[in-house]
Amino acid sequence: MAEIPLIRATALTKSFTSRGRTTRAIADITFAQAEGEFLGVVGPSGCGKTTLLRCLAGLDHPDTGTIEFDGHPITGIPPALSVVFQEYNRSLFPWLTTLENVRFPLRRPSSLGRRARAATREQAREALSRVGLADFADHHPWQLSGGMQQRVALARAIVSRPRLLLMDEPFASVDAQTRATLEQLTITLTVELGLTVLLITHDIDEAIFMSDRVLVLAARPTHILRELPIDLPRPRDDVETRALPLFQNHRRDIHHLLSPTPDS
Amino acid sequence: MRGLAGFAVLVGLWDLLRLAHVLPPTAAPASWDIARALADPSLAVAAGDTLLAWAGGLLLAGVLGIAAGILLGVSRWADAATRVVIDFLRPIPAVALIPVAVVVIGLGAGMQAVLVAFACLWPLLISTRFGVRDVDPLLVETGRVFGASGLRLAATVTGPAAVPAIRTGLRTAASLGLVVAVATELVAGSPGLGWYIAQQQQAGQIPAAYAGIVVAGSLGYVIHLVFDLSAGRAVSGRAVSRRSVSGRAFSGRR
Repeated sequence: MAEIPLIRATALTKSFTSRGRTTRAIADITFAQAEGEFLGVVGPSGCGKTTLLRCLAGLDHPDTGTIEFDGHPITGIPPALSVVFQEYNRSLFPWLTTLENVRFPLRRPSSLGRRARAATREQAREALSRVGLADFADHHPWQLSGGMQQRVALARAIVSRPRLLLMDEPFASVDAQTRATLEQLTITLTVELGLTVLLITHDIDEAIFMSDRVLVLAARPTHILRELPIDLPRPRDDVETRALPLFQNHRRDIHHLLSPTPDS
Repeated sequence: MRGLAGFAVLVGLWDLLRLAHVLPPTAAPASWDIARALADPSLAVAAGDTLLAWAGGLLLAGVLGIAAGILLGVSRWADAATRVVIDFLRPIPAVALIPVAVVVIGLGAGMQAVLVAFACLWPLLISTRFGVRDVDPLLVETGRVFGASGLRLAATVTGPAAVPAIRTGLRTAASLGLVVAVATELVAGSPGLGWYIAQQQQAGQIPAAYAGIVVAGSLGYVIHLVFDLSAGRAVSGRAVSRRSVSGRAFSGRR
């Protein structure tokens, strides 16, 4: 366990200034995530979770503090990282087919040769079949349901076998049934591909159900209230796992942390 | 089919009003005389000249307008620096520049193409600029996360996302360009439909003058058809994406 963590954030702070008013989004965040770990980050809406993810992805810069990826401070977007955004219908490219959307991360200038192109198409096809959409390769995203669109986004995020997969409220815009299916699918992919996932969510149950460890964040300006190891047995089952007393205990703990006066 | 029937009614009405002396017979020749004048081979040559000037001007405006529009859409600095100049130049009617253009560039297809390009430049520039600026930032960030940057990002994300807006500008420019091409021929006498119409009118060949007008109208119609068809596909794609955006707003409320 003494190895270098895959990602380490140290003393992050971040504020936004607009029209002369400064809002502190992140007060102080320090954590590390090991390779292969599924880390859940849960906190109230608008607490700065998405700001944290944007900093980790290199899309935003923290005001102070450092982020190290694989032991090196990040400068820009780490290439071995991918993201699933909440708004799948804004982050899929509507002019590309499902297959071409999934192939996008593989379209580097070095893969311009015909043989390399065929190989990336095969890879994209493989990723699509992993999310159960092999038959929809030639559809356009807007021809698919919301849950299917998010599957495409998931396939695109894993096609290049990223070392870290960031997920920002990935299932917040789909119905409950679809959400359960997508949660299970994500867990399956994580195991099959040995992924390291950082999942941001406001859904306490989802965080517990999926994660090895949960960071509970406070309201804005955010900091870590508690780090909670989730030692629920795997494989996890949508019905059985959620019925375990341990699950209920975790659930109660986090609820109490996020609403400090439960008896009032 | 119904469109053709409407056209036949219009022709019939024309002849009827003529025979009833509502339209003066000398100024309004019979439809069959106009139809006969359409066979004049020099009319086809004139139409070709007009199309050439139109195409050249539109091409010039397309290259310049789209390139400049992308630049102004991406760079706020360039946009602010050029705003006053553009707002001053844009309202100048291209036709008002004909006398100056004749002096500076001289008569001929080159002068005509430049004037057409001047007229077509603005709708292309403005719609490209807005199209690029309106691209969803999340789409651009998605492109960056998945390894695109610089020119590759512009070519694979920003450009395609702005295509519907650019098509709209192209449609406006294409119709406007034909008007300016014909007007230039009328005023400056460069070879083409405008010049043909003026020539025939002065020679008293009224049916031939009308034939020129009919051909000019037909050209405009064909241009409108071609550019509307390509834009229609873009619009339907846009309607779908708008529907899914409202779907997102709806699901976000639950």
